[in-house]
Amino acid sequence: MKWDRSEGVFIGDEFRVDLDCPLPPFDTQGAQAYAATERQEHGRALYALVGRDRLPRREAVLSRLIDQPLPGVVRLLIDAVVTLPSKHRAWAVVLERPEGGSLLAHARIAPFTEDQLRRIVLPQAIHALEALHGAGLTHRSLRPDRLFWKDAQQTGIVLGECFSEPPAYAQPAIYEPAERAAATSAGRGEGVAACDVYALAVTAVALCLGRDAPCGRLPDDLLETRLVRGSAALVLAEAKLSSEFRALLAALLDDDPQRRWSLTELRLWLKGANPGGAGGMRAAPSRPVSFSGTNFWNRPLLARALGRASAGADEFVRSPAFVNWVQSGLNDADASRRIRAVLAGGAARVQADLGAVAAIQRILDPTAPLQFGRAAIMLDGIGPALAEAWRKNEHDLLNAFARTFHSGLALEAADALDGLVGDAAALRRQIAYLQASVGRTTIGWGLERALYELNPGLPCHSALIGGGYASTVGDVLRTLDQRAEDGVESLIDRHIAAFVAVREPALARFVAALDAANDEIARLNAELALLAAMQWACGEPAVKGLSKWFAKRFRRHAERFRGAANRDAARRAIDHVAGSGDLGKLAERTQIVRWAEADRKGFDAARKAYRRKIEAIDALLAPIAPTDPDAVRLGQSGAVVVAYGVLVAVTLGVLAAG
Amino acid sequence: MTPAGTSAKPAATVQRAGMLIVSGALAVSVIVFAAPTAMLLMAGLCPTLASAVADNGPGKRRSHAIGAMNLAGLTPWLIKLWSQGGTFEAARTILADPFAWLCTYGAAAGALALLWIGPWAAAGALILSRRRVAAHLGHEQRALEKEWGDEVGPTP
Repeated sequence: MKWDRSEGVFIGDEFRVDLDCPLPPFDTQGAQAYAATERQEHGRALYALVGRDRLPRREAVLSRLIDQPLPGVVRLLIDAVVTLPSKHRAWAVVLERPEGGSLLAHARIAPFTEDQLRRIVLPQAIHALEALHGAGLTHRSLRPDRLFWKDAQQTGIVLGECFSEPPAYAQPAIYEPAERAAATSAGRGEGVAACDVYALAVTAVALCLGRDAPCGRLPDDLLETRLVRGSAALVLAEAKLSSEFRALLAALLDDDPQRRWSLTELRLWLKGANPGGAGGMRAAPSRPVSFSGTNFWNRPLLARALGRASAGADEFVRSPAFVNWVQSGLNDADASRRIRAVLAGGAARVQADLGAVAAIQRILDPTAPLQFGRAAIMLDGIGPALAEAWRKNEHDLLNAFARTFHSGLALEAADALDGLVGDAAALRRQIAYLQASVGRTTIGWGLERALYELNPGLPCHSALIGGGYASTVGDVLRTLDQRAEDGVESLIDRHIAAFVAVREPALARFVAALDAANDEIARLNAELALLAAMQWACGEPAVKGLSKWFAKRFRRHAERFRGAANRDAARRAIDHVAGSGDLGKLAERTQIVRWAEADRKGFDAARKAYRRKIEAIDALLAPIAPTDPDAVRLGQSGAVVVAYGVLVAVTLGVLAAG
Repeated sequence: MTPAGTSAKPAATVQRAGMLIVSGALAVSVIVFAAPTAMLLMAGLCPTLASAVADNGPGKRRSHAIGAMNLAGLTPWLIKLWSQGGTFEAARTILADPFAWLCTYGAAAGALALLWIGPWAAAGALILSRRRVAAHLGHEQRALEKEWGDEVGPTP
């Protein structure tokens, strides 16, 4: 495609996105794909992803891939925010386009053979995944349509991008390990390397079968079957494979993450070695327990049944049958002790809010997603799930988040993971911080704070931003500058406050000052101080819309000053800086709070002076009688003066006559 | 050291005693060396002496007024006495003249009239003066109302 500066959307001076040329095979839930070109010809095909629907991206993955490409992973060239012809802003990235098509498209025509999987797909996928895992990342979107031939000659494969949507957001449930499959799509979490290994095994089976997923049943039904029969049995049911390859895939699909084979073991197997058996399994109950007419041998299944029971679960966990089973049939001394502690009231904090059932569910199946109201969410998937709830305005779920954090159940769940996941301590620290953040109701904290803490690249969700895309503090300021002219009544809400406090921690004290503002004028001043600090921090040029907005409100407040001179002085000072677009100068020159205080004090003093004058006038206008001491004193003094005057006059007169 | 508050009273007493001694010495000298003048003064200044004894008001303004007017009424006759040599004969002639008594005591009565009219006139003057001050304060109130609005005044 020829480089033409007059058409398309440009990313810097280097890349152009051709919005007239969509590429649906590369579409994701979070972005639409379009053809892209570059100014300097490098002989490579490109495509661009343009963000949509404000789904949170995986910023850690994106920033790592843009810093340094990883072998076997589609190469990311640039990340930017663009303005579309519709005037909407969106993030956009340009990537190298794999030209050989997806492996799914290939498999639909000619399903892969075991040999192709052993020689081409698995070794190259292992290579790419090892590079990704070595960088501390997971792919979490591994499936046949996200694996591509890197060129038309099909000389090798590359992993598709995995940052444009939350981890495993668009994965069919069967590609997720059993413990994460029950979670909502946005709440499946970053996961660990073993999740990619599992998805790779399912992908291998799908490629052999020539369809996008080995099973087509409803996710809920699928999950119960997986818990009963094991995922491997389900995934491998229809595949025609050698017993050797089937055993390999069964080891990769093991539902116990500790027994599941890793990439190292897979590599060894491909080289002909036998890596041997995996670690021991968690002990199963020695006898079943009956709940709602079903005998449960399986702890996760019992936990799920307890969670889904609308009534009777609380009664059941306190029944002698369950208590006896916990003591003698559970076959897990630690779990038994903890369940008895819950039933005895030891976990009173949790019980008080969500009941003993939720706590017992966590003990029976500690790796299961945590229940936030009706939504099941992995602890490392809270961020995207929170963003999704906000994106869809699911207020019930947001309230459930707040309740669950408040109850302490999330922290209990993190504690229960100790020893089961590698980064349990870090996860616990994060959950403890979130619990404290969500528990604070002041502006700049609460669920909004958690939202932006957990989703580093998420644009601001404030209603004041509207449909705009503001992923930085500077973007927020610019958008508010435009919205200010629309006549909005406030410029800072809980979202903007939390967003700024998280993205620019140095400005957190200005956010805290918003909470201390206890009247309208103090709040206005605190908002100006925050926005001025934002302008200063971003080096943003003039924001005339904002300065006019504040000037208008300051003028309105100044008109309420009681003192005419105060009003005139305030008007003059405000008009002087109203159009400057410099919020710092506006804040410095318009000390509206101080002026208001001075005006109030001046008015109080004037009222007192007025009252004193009334009293003085009343006293002055009181009738005066000749008997009044003042009149007597003054009258007698006058008489004395006249008398002496007469004496002098007479004496001088007589002497002159004589 | 004597406290400042207690030293003022003895000092005033000493001063008054000194004045009495000087006045007494002058009176004795006048009686001894100008007996006709002294006779005329004692006869003519009886209203003054009476008011001086009776006046307990601050500053003894009444006795000052009566004394000044009484003396003004007596002064022409004193000068007449002295112009006729200051003899007993001249003094007797003046004391026998009813017009001299009328002048001297009439002047003292005039002082009483002044003392009666004075408070009335003063009350009138005070009313006028205070009205002027009140008008000025009213102007100041209007200036406050202009600066701070009607709310600065008492709420109805």
